[in-house]
Amino acid sequence: MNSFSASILRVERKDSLCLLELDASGIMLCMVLFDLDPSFCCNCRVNILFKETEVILSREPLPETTIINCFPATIRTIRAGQILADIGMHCAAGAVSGIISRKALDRLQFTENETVTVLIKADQLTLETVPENGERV
Amino acid sequence: MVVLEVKKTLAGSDGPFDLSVNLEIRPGTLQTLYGKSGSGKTTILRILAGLATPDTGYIEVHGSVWLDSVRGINIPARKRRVGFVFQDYSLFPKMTVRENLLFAQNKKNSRKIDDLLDLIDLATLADRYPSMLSGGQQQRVALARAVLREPEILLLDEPLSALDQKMRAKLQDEILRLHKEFNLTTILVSHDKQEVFKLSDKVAFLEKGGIIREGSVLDVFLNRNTSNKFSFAGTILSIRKADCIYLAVIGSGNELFEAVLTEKDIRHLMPGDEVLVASKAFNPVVMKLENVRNS
Repeated sequence: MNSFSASILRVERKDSLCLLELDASGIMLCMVLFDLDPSFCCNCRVNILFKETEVILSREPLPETTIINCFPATIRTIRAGQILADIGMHCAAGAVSGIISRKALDRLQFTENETVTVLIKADQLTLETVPENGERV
Repeated sequence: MVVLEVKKTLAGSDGPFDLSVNLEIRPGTLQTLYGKSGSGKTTILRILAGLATPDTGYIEVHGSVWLDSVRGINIPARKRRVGFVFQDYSLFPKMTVRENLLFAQNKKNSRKIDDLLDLIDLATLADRYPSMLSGGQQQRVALARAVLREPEILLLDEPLSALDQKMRAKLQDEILRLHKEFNLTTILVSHDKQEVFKLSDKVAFLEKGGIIREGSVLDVFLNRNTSNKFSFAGTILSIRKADCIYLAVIGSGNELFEAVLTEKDIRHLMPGDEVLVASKAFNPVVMKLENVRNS
């Protein structure tokens, strides 16, 4: 699971639905969720979690899509399987990985040290309070 | 509100130790006392029920003082409105299900008993004796009997620990249903983490007579909270490699789930680990069951 340390900048509410704006070491991210727990409030430190399987990669710097979250990352490792590929990257917020299909890897021909754009949908981010003992494993 | 402040020296397997507990429980809460055997959980229930007396203490239940050792108040057990369900059912063997329930009722009302028998799906067994029922059915009668007393607090002392996993899951649902239907304040003793995750609003984690952690299930067991609405505790049963990812089989109660893990995940996860499985409200695919059956 990917994890970024971040702070909550803004919370917008409509009924029980909330839109949060977060700053993860300069990467601005948006997320949507229902019924925000009071332990998540403006200016508090949180961890942003998202699964590697929800990560989308693009070679375009600012691709025109409906996906609100996009940020640059440099490919460090490529582990290509027969059906899937595990792409290890580094961005301003730290390490980030994406699981993509082997077909997509073959089509886009990503290489190590290449800069790509990471895209992640706002509904695929999860918040976690920062554990008392600091960083998560 | 239930206010509990008690101290009592208990005899443990490693010598005497002090039970010292302060708890405040809001009305309608399902509060779990979690901890190893011998940590004082059952003694707390017995003190609440008036079956044991603390060395010093104060108990207030919804505005009534049940115990105040300073003022010499100690309401006897028979006058405390508690429902108590034990692990061993404790039904009267020579009474039918209906007679067991009627006996427990303060104001006899057979209509109410019929309604409750319907609610817990025992109407067809009303005239049977306990020996003719399965363990799960006997425990449902014990639960119904406790609820019929219209208790101010429902005390459940490891009520499901003698049952198999499938029956446990069913009875857990029954407990939740009765707790909500009758707006009960319930105190459950359990050392089954999956059960605690499924049932509890609040958890107090006891060790050697003291509360070492208290709060929501996630606060107590994970030391952190997530924004996900759907979560449960489970145990990783197996992890197998599939291409460049891994597939974990996770058991929770009598259910099995599969979850995709990555190389990074399996560096700190292995079979036997207890884990939290969580998902967002946006993710689940929802299908009407009738359509699935007809397709």
